[in-house]
Parts: sequence; structure tokens; C-alpha cells
Amino acid sequence: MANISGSRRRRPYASALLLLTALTTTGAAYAVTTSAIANPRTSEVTAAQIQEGKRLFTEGCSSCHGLAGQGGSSGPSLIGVGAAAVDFQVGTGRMPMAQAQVQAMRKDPVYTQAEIDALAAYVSSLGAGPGVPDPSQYDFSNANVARGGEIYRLNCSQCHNYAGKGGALSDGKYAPTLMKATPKQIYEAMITGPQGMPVFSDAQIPAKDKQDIIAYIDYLQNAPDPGGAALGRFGPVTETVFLFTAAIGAVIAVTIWIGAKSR
Amino acid sequence: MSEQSNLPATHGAHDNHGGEVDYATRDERGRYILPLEEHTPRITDIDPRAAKRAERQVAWLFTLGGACLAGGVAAYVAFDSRELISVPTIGRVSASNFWLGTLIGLGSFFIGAAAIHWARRLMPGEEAVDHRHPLRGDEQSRASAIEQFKRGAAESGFLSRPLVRRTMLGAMALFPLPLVVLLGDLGPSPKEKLRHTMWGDKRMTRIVNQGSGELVRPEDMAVGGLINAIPEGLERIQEETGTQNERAKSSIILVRMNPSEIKAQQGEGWDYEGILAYSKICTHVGCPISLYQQRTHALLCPCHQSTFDLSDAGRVVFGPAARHMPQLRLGVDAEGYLVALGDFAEPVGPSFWERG
Amino acid sequence: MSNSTIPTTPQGKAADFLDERLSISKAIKSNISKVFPDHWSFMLGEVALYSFIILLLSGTYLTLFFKPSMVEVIYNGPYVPLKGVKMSEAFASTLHISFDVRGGLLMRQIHHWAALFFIGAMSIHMFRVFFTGAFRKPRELNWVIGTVLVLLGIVEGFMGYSLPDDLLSGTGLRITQGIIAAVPVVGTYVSFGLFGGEFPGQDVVSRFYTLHILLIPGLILALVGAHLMMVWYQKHTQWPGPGRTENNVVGYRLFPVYTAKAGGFFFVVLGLTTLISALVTINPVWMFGPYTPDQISAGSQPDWYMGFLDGAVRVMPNWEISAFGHTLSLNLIIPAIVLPGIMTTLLGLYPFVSVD
Repeated sequence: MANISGSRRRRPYASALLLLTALTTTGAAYAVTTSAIANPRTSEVTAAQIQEGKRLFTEGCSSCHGLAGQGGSSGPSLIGVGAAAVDFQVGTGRMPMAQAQVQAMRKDPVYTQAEIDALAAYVSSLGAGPGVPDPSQYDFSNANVARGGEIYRLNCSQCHNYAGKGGALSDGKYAPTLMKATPKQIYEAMITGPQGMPVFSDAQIPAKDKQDIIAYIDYLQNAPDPGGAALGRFGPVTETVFLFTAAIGAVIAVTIWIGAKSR
Repeated sequence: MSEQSNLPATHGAHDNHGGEVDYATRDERGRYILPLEEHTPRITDIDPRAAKRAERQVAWLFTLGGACLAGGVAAYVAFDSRELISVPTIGRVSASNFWLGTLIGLGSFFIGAAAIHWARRLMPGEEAVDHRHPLRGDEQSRASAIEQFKRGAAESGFLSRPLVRRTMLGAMALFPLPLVVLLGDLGPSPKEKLRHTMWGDKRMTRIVNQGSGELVRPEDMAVGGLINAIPEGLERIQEETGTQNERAKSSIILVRMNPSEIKAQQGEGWDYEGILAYSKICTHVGCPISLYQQRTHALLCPCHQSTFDLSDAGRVVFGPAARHMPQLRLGVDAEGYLVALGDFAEPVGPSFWERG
Repeated sequence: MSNSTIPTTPQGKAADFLDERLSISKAIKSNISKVFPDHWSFMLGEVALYSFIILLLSGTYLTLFFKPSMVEVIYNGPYVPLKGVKMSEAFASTLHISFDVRGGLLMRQIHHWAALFFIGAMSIHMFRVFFTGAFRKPRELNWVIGTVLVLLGIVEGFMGYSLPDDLLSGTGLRITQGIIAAVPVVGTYVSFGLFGGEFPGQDVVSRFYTLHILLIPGLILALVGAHLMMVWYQKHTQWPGPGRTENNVVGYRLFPVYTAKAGGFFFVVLGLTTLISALVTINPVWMFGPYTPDQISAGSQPDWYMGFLDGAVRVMPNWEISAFGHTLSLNLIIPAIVLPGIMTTLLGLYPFVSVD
């Protein structure tokens, strides 16, 4: 890791060291994994924001994640997870978790965007990690949706299903549906690897490719169904349910009509 | 036929005074046979106005059917194959598919319904009775059949000339052979093809990130990261032969974990600073797997739920797969690119008889 | 000779022409008033028959546009999310049918829904025959034919599912290849023969196409003919009831009542299938994308009739024996070959082993 070219990545060597130290000291195997390559944007973070974030954190997050974000028995360490992870987890309502679950579910966010920004500022002050992406990074207006589809089928569809409907994983975990994910959240999820999802840093999937993927997911979210009702886009399973209820039901109704005694 | 005589018979099966059951009628097992119910006239049998009404209904259904079919033809002309329309509760659908299918479907349905309605209301409503004739041939036919067959068999000499019989049976037994042999060129002989992949072609093979098409450098990979990758040069093979065969063998996934999290590998030091390369092709029946959960290092196959632990030498932890995911040995070349040092130690993908 | 049959009308003259050459009067005389019992459950087999006719018709339409070739092409059609993507000609022509041919999508969906209907109706029909004991003497042989028809239907359906060469169907083929390769002794050779070499090769779609549109439908058609002739000859079973005995059939006559009811029912089945195809998507191949052996979608499932096999393969423990340089994949052989073998054998032989 030491041979990372720091200047190109705009990432100080020290923070990698800090990250490693933090990980070893806390021994948090379950740490929400950070991208070693991510490029935290140095957006205008004020001291007041960090202060406000610390207050919110102490109130709402510290019972699981520890008073200094070092993690605890019920929550991973947040040192070095970066602002993007906070913006994603809190912005999609996954955090704070209402109760202990196998996996945090998407809900309506509890905090306002300003509060989320403050939390993110505080958490990224604990240790550098991927920053919240800039709108220009996830702007997909010039993206290639067909190429996005190819990369999606290569990297995403194995968990999130061909139509972004999500799918089951092992031990009660699941890949969530992408139908409500915003471009920013998709980008954040890729660079931070929330929950069980692998990290797809900008070095693994360049920003341009991420925009293509976002364009494809945007297509999936709005795609028409030329053939008629989509039955949830889950493949042959829901087609079977329809077949043996409505379709064969209708045919049997007709057979009963034909066979019934006429009066 | 008077109305009275058409009324249903009084059911007196359990009523000695009913007098409707002829207790003499029994089937061959000695069970009583109730007589056929007398035909209950339908309203259309009795009331000419009802019959007329049914006639008009049938005619309307035929007319409606014809009209819908004509509408279907109009829809074919009216809609471009790509035009979309919004249909409540269904969504945005192809106008052509929706209107063509709905109109032709309804047209066909109405025609069928008309015919059925016609049969039910206006055609004879009284049940008819047919006899079942025994399927077994009568004694005379059977005797005659046996006799004629025996005569023919004797005349042929099949039984009396064993030499002819045996050589014929022998020759006929060989008859299917050429048919099977002729299928020989359906495919090449497997030879050693299933044992080698492109990774073994060179001592060191650079690794291409399949999404971006870029060569992978170790520092590209974040901890917890995943890259779907192929050997360098595979895309070129694709161009030349246009086959996907090599992809089905050489596709790998690269994952990076904290080196301290690696419990075991298939060879000492096969990782590169926590980066591990595993085959992407499931050892069960060959589905490509990259459902990697970076927190637990579990790799799950979406086809049959086999689960492998990539932090523990790709061991099977759940499911029907019997063998671990084969691992590639990694290193870095002089220019700092991640490389595979040789082929998999075993055949990738599903098992086969000669696998050993 | 009676004067009443000397033809005067054109229809009469045509009938006379045929009778003088083919003696159709005898066939008509003995069949036209045949009695069939009336019950809704006796029409389930008809649904299967009509679905098969719909399959023949819609399938013939699809062959006019489908290109059974695995040559790789770059898609340049109207569906933007796949523009410029490399795919097989088979998949590209399926997209062409879906987006460029007016009514093409409808025909594809009719074909696929009718296929699910076909096997579904055969299965329910089989349940009806089983639970009413209609497979017993003298109908054992027709039960065997029915069993073979269900098997052929499943194979035919699976091959059709494989033809578009989309990501889902390719996954099914991959699993099939893994299972074939697991067969002891000949598995690897059969797999190489079927796929023209390693998986996926460039041959399987065109080979399946020939089997799917010629050989198997031909066999099904012949067996359906035999199945119906046996029902005709042995006469239909009936529910017990007043006037019904072992020696008679009570119901309505072929002409006119059943001609109208059964003929009408064909149009109803066609109408409902078309209507469903207009309103409900089936197998949106454009969303799955083209097949490549290194990609997959979560929740990849076969069509319903293969579900029991796929499920058996999933729940099987991961037993595999390696000895003497050979591999015996019990985790595949037992659920995917032995189990269906036993199931179909028991099913086919049931009338001969069950006690009356």
C-alpha cells in the first residue's frame, strides 16, 4: 500500500497509516470498510458543523458506535469510513437502525440533509475516508446507457438482479432493490461498500463507468414494459404464480361454464 | 312433447313407493343401476322467445368477435412497433402489442364463446347414450388371428432355419451402430481442454479489469473491493474466433481483504498484499459467481446457493458444491501490474468423469 | 341402391367424389354421432391440445424472423440500452422480433405463455386422470403415452427457453452442461458433442433449434395423434351417475354439440392466451441482456416445469467421490439424473403396479 502515488490520488499517505492503526487498535473486523483509494473532497467543512455533528452523534449514534466513533458490541467503528458512508447510511434512512436486524433497511431518513452533513463532517474528522461525491461525479447526462448496462450485468446484476430489484444473499441478508436509489446514493454505495457490498472504488470502476451504470439504473427505474404488466421483474417465479392463478384459473372457469348443465 | 312429460323424474332411489328404480337392473358387479335422469327442458327448449334471445346473443357474440378481429387489423396498421402508451394498473406498454393482442384475443374469445353459447342453448340439450363394445376380440377372431400368424411364421422359416434367424438378428443388432458413430464429429474430443485456461499460456499473465478494460495494478484495489477480471489478451481471442469458451474458463474475481483476515490459501503466499484471485466459475455446475459479501468474505452462487469462504482458501461452507473455488497465484511484474503466476492447479468449473 | 344418395347439390357431389374414392360414408356413419361425456375436468386435456396447436402456429411465425446462430454481432437496433453491445445473432434477432416486427412481441409472448400453458394443462390433466383412476385397464397404454408426452413437453420447453440466448437462458444451458458433464463415463463426450466442443461453443442454439422445431414437435404430434385415437377407440371415461354404467357412455354427440363446444373452446383458449400476452410480460429478454458465461442475474430461475429438478439439485448434499482418476458427482447425478429417472419410471409404470 505504501507505493500508492499520493499526489495523483490526492490522498495523504498519513491517513492510510492512520486508517491501518485505527483498524488494528480497535480490532474491528466488522468495520464498515473504507476505500483506501477514495478521494475525499475537501468541501467547505466548518468547525461549527463538526461541533453540531458531534452533538448529534453523541445523542443518536454513540450508543452503538461508541462515544468517539470507535465502535462497540452492536456497531462497527466509524473511524475512516468517510463522509460518503455517513451520507449514504443516514441519507437512505438505514442509520440509525430502529432495532437490531440482520441488515439495515432503507427507511425515511430521520435527519435533515443539514444534520446529515454535520454528522458526515464529524465522522470524517475522526479519520479520512471517501467524501461525499460532487454532483459532477454522478451527473449521467452524457453517459452511455448501453455501456452502463454491460458494466451493470458484469458487476451488479449478480446481487441486485437484472432489473435492479435486488435479491437474497446468505444468512437472511439481501441485496436491496435499486428502484429508489438516487444517483448520488448509487455512487456513494459503490465507493463505500455499505453492509456486505464490495467496494467499487474509482480505481476499480472509473467515475465515467459509474456514470454509465447510474444511467442504466436510471433507465431501469423508469423503463417501460412493452409486453405488459411486468409482474415485479423477478423472472419466471412470478410468471409461474400468474400462470397457476389468473391464467389457468380463467381457463378452468371456462371449462366449468362449458361443462355446466344448461337451464 | 307436453311440458309435463319433460319435468324431471321423481328421484325415488331410496323410496320404495317411488317406483322409479328398476331393481332388476344391475351391472355385472351386482350394483344397482339407476335409470338415466329424464331430460329437464331448458328455458330455450320451452320458450321460443328465450330461444330467439339466445339466438341473438350468439349472433352478437359472433359479430363482436368479428369486429374485434377487424380492430386488430386496424391496430396493426395504426401503431408503430415502438410506440408506447400508458395503461392504468399495467404501466407503459407497447401500443402495438397491447391493441393487437387485446383485440385479437377478445375477437377469438368472443367467437369461441359464441360457439359454446350456441351449443349450450340451442343445440340438443338431451343427453345421448352410446354403448361401449368390449375391446377384447371375440373367440373366433382371436383363434383366426393366432392361426394366421402361425401359418405365416411357419411359411417364413424363421423358426425352422436358425442360421437365417441368427445371422439376421446379428446383422440387425449392428444396424444402430453407424447411426451412433456418425454423430462422432458433433464435437472435438475433450482431450485436455478442460484442464487448461489462458492463465497457463504464459509464466506471467497480466490481469484486465473487465469493466473498464484497464490492466489492474494492486493499488487500484480497495480493501473490501471486488474486480471482475479476465486475462490480458482474452478480448483479442474473442475478436479472432468469436467464441466465449475462454471466458467460461478464465474469468476470475479479485478481492482484497486485510491480510490478517486471510485464514488459509490454496498455496503459501498466493495472495498479493491481501489481494486474492479466485475462479469465477462455480465448481458445482458452472454459474459465474461474484456475489461477494466483503464483510463475511462469503461468495454465494445465485444458481444453487453454494457458498464459499474466500478468506479460507475458497472452502465450501454451504450448498451442493463439493469442491473449493480454484485459486490463482498472484504477483506483480516489473512495471507494477498485477499478474497471475501460472494456471489454476486444477480444472475450473463443474466436475467431469475424467477429472480425477 | 337408394335414390336418396344420388348427389344433386355441389356439396353432395363433392361428398360423392370422396366417398367413391375413400369410402368416407363409412367413417362418417360410425363416428359423427359419437357420444362424449360432459364434465369440466374432461376438458383439461383439450387445453393442452389447443395450447400445442397455438404453439405450432406461433412457433411457425417466429421461425420467419428468428436466426438460430451464435455468430457474434454488434446490436444496432432501436433498443437503446443494448445499442453497440456484442451479442449472438440469435439474441439480436429475438430483439428484432420484439421491437421491430409489429406483432412480433405478441407472438413471442403467445408462444411462451402457450408453452407454460401446455405443460401446465398436461400436468393438471394428468392429475385428473390419476385421481379418477382413468389410467386403469384398458387405458394403461394411453397413460404411458401421456407420460412420454409430458416428458417431451418439458424437453421441448427447455430447448425453446434456451434459444433466445439471453442471460437467463444461457444460465440454464450452463447448468445443463454441468449436469451432462457429471454423467459417468460418457458425460464429457456427450457435452462436447452437444456443444460442439467446450461450453458454450457456437453450435448449441442451431442444434437445439432443429430439435425444437422439427424432431420433438414431430414426435409430440405423432404421440398426440395416437393418444387421441386411443381415447376415440376406447371411448372416454365418465363419472358414475344415474344411467351411467360400465357398458355405456352418456353425454352429447360429436356432431353438433361437441363440434361447437370443442371448436369454440379452441378459440377461447387462443383468445385467453392472446389476451394474457397482450397484458402481461413474459421473459423480457432485452432486460436480461445477451448471454455471456461470466455474467448472471440474482434469482436466476428456470421456467416452472424445471423447478423440481433445480430444487432437487439445490437441496442435495455435496457428495462427490474421487477415486482411480475419476470423479463421481453424486451431488448432480442423484438429483438431476437418478431422481427424474425414478420419478418418470414410476409414473409410467404406475398403472401396471397399482392394485385395483
